[in-house]
Amino acid sequence: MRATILGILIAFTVAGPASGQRTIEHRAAFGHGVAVRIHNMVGSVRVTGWARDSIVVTGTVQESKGEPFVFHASRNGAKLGIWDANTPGLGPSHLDVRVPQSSIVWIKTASADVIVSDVSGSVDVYAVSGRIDVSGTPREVSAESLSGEVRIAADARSVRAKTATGPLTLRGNITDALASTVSGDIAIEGAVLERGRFETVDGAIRYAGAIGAKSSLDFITHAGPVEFLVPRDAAAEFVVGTYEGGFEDRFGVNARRTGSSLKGQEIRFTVGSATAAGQVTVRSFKGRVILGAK
Amino acid sequence: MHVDGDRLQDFVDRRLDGVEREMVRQHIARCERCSAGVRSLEALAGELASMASPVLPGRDLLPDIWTRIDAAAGEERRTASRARRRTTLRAAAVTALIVSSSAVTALVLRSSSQGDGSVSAGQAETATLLQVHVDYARAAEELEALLRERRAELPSGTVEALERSLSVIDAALNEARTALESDPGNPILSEMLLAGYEKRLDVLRRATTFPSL
Repeated sequence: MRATILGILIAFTVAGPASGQRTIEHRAAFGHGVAVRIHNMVGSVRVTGWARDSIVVTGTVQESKGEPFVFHASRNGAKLGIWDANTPGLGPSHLDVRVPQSSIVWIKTASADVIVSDVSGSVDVYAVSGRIDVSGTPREVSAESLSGEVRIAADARSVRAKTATGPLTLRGNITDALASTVSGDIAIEGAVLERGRFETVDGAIRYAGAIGAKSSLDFITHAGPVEFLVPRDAAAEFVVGTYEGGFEDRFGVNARRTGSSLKGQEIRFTVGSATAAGQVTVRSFKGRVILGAK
Repeated sequence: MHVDGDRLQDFVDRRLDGVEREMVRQHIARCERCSAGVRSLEALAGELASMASPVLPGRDLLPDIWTRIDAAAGEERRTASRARRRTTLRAAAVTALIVSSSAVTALVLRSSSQGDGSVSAGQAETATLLQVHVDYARAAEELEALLRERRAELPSGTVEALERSLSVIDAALNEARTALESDPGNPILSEMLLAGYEKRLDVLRRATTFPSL
């Protein structure tokens, strides 16, 4: 009898990989401004801030034998999700999490897609191939994906977004922004930025929108085109330095030097009023720099 | 920049070694956000520790069960976990080295390129670039070794995206270096080279922490 029980216990604990899918629903009282840590490698994670003092997670999970779904929550913090990051063939888990708006949210995934909205605390999301979408008014955002798309549409004090091959889009009012890719394209669309740095190696950078009077924006690329589409009434001082990329003026600023190769020479010009102008610096090896009117 | 969630958890769990623990401790001392994160994780850990213990089989069964479980399944997982932890810690140390040296170098480069144009400034810039290259090569070599150890664990799609990105960066670095040889004083080329080095190290560092799925 003892051997049978032991056998069942061991089989239950160590045998075979995946088990079936099951539905989950957990809820707990939860404090304001405390951390929620979420792991889910495959599937999806949706986190939504709400005006309640509780955390609720619903969804479907697929667990490996050694790593069941975890949910621990109290007024001081929470950790939840599938912690398994190594079992081959792990099935997708889909988590829908509601947290107090001021929560600090950390999410780690591999291929799972992540959507975060209406969280006013800080948001950190890390993925490998999963897409990341953050919106609302988070205090700070840090989002990294190797090959997944990253989209931030947020009013935030600070945004740090990185990919390698995935495209990256920024929108919103952001005090301090960093967007960095290797080959992924970067689009800054209608954003209002105080300080910004945008980097690619051969991905395109496209900035469409106004440039604030206090803005200080740096663009650096090796081979990607850098295109500005700014309103006719924009006011900004540009310093463009490109080695082989050249500068194309479609706006009509009458910069003194344009052409296919500047060999490291800088072009400086002002659009609109110089007295109330933002600062824009562009560095490129062979990416073409284009200024046009929106 | 902030300390990521996993590392903060490791800090709370006292799983960081001396150097990294001190780096995180110093960061927390001046970062309100990470400090709040640590407080939250500590409070949660305290609560988890005080939760009622799970119902376990009788005392006479436990040693045998634990032994067999450990032998059959746990050891493999712990070994993999230890290896990943070592990898993460070494990557963090390498990153700290290059981040500090790059930041200093960038400042030196900027000040020298905006200086009075004297010969000594140019010489300082060349010497600094050389040092950057040495620092970069050392850090890149260590990170590449870490990545080689983990390569077989990573999904093919991840490896493919990673290699494509590194190849693009390498091509850019080669172009910048070649141009710099024929135009050594060009500040734009120096900036491009530095940006390429930092980008490559950043991609390598991130790759050492990828999960196996």
